[in-house]
Amino acid sequence: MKYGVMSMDVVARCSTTKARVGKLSLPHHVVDTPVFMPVGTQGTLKGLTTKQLEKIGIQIMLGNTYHLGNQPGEDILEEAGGLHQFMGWPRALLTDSGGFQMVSLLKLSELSEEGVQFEHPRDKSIMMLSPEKSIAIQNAIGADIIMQLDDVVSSTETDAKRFKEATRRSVRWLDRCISAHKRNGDQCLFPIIQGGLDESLRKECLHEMTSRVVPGFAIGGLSGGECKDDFWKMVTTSTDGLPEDKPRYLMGVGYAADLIVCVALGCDMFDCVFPTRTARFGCALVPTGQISLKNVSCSKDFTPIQEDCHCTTCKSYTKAYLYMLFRANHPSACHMVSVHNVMYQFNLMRSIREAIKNDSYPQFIKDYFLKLFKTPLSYPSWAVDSLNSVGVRLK
Amino acid sequence: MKHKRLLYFSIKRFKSTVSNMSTECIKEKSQEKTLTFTRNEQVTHIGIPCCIMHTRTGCIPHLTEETLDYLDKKLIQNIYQVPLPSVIDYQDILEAANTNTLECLCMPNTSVLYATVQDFSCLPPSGYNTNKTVAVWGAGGKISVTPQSYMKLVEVLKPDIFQVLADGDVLKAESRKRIIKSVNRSVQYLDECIKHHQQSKPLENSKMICMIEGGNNLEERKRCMKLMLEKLKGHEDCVWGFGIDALPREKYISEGTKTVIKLLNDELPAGKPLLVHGFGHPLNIIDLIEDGVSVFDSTYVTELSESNHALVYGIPSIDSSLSLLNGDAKTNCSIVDVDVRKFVETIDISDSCFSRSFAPLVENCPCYTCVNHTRAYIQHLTVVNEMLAPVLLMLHNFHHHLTFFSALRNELNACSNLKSFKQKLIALNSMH
Repeated sequence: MKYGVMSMDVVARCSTTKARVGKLSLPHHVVDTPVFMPVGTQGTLKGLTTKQLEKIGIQIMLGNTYHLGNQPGEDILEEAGGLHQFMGWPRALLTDSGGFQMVSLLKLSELSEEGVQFEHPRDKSIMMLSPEKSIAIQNAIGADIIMQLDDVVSSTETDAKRFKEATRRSVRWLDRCISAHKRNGDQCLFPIIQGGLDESLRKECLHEMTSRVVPGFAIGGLSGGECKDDFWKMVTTSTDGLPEDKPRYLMGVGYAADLIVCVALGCDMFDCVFPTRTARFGCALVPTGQISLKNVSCSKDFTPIQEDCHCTTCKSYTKAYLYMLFRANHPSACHMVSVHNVMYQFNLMRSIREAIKNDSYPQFIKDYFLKLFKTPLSYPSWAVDSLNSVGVRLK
Repeated sequence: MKHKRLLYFSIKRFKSTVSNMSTECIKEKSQEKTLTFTRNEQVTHIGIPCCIMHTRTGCIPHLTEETLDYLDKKLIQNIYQVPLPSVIDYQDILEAANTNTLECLCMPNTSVLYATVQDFSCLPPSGYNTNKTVAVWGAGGKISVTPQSYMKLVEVLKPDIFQVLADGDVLKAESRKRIIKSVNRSVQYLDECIKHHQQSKPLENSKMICMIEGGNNLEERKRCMKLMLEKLKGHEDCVWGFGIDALPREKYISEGTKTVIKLLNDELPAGKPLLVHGFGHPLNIIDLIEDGVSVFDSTYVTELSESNHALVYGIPSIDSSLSLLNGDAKTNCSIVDVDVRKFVETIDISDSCFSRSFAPLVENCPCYTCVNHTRAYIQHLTVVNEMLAPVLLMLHNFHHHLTFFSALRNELNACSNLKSFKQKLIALNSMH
């Protein structure tokens, strides 16, 4: 399906699950999906150079509109020729709308039909983030994919009325975002499917949003601490209601098991700060879960984080050495583990794509789960249930 | 260009008498301007003036092997400094590794390893040394090191060269009494370190760098040198060179400091390089070379990068500078006339005046940072305190600093003194 500057070709489908492999052509790069997008909040991915990211193979990364709008600010980004130019990243970018940070970072924000009003963290002035403003900043940033401003509600909120209000407002805001969007020629605007954990509300939102002319969809309002049984049901409800020929971006998902399940449920794009955040705390991702490099058990382990990993960290450094660097709070240690973790996620997604192409995804899931959880007895029930719903029997 | 494996040293330079080790003296020895290290019968030459790469735990701050690889290999001198505070907590790990230190610290196995008592880019708090111990701050806090425990750690590290334990905690204007004490202690430590070294099998290929103390007191510097040379009688072979410790941290080195260095340079034995830590300002480096110092370190690069500063001064090169000389009458003024305060060597890149500057740190600089990023981007990274800011600054500052050292070596090879180089440097970089 071609939409303006973007096209999504589904090149392979799993014959059992809803998983698919796609090629997403964006103005700055072609992205292989399913894809995990590392989060470079402030125009940089936690100490890694853009050359390192390219070398790992990263095709798309995230920037945060709220942060970038504050610093360096819309006008400097515009003067620089957009975020790609500003940060020296030639490949694809995606920005969020800023709405999530508004709610999570700012206690004093006030919500109205107009938008979110908040106190500017630096000069204490009152600022209004409206759908129009969010799009204006995102137009200045110039990412390949931009997000509508949505009315964000914590997924653990209990007031059903609030969800209904937020969902319907998000639909109205989507229309305002679509009208405000000035760069249809080179930026793709995604709506964000809301509806909390209420299936009928989500269906209503899906119905409304899929009736607009948009190039792809984000699934929002999840990964906020809700029960996993609710989470997967909302994901599968969402993908069922979305068109086959457009990409589906599930926001805020990054744990290996979640990625594997949600790919099986039909999602194509994911983002999460987890791999790089956990790296800074000395945690390395491996097929069996995580290794805490600050743990004394690593102190005399002179092997790399992962023997069969081809990242530059595993080629050059041992766990014992990383243990020493972390104990002394070396910033280089964070860079080393970030490289490994970003590579780990990249490799995981590549193996997922390969498995789908070979139509062996169900077997891939079984193998990966056994390695990760050691015994079927430790499989989380939500994962068993969700995979069961798409025809993969873990037990 | 990778250097070959090294295990022990043979010093082949500074053969002539070091009676007047000034620029003229370097001229006399212009054929031998390298330090030679030999390990497993394979030889590495390191050109002087040389810049030792400063590390913490064997890791260049903020860089990794991958990002260090962005630097021009021709600029890197394969000699690395490992400060004691950065490894003192890991003695058991180093022992358990059952390999050499380079392998354990994941460093290139061809590197020359130099162990120092302190990290000169972050000196410890003052006032914790005693007659018997030197205080070193590891990750877990203060550790008091005796000459014996120090030498045991050096035995674990098996460096190619190492500093002798010394009490250099006299950086601030200390009383004469405190300076005398620091000399007495350091001479005593030296005595014990020599004894240990003599009997140490693991250190048979490791050589010592004696740290001369005495603070800003010329008489004490002399006394320290004399006493140390007495202790070293008969052990000259185990000495690689001399370090001038506890020099004041001045932006421009003072006449007083120069007098100390000249004195030491005149009277220390021939064939042993003279070394200082922490200096990096281009004018200081030139002055120090003219006074006889030949070995420096890169702590300046670390310090600048960690305080958001970028090196921006122009480096004269032999071929391109002639036209500049002819075209600029200012270069004919004597160096004495130049007001060094007008010399601009760095910019503070966190300054908001760079927020819209879409030019590289230095125009036409071929380093990774300048090829790929603008001042505005780096300014942004410093404002939001992102970890990439010191990474990019390290890459640029390293490139710039090592290029300067390379230019100095070229200049000394070509014309044997730095007089005109210094004039050109000043002319290029003085605010009018």
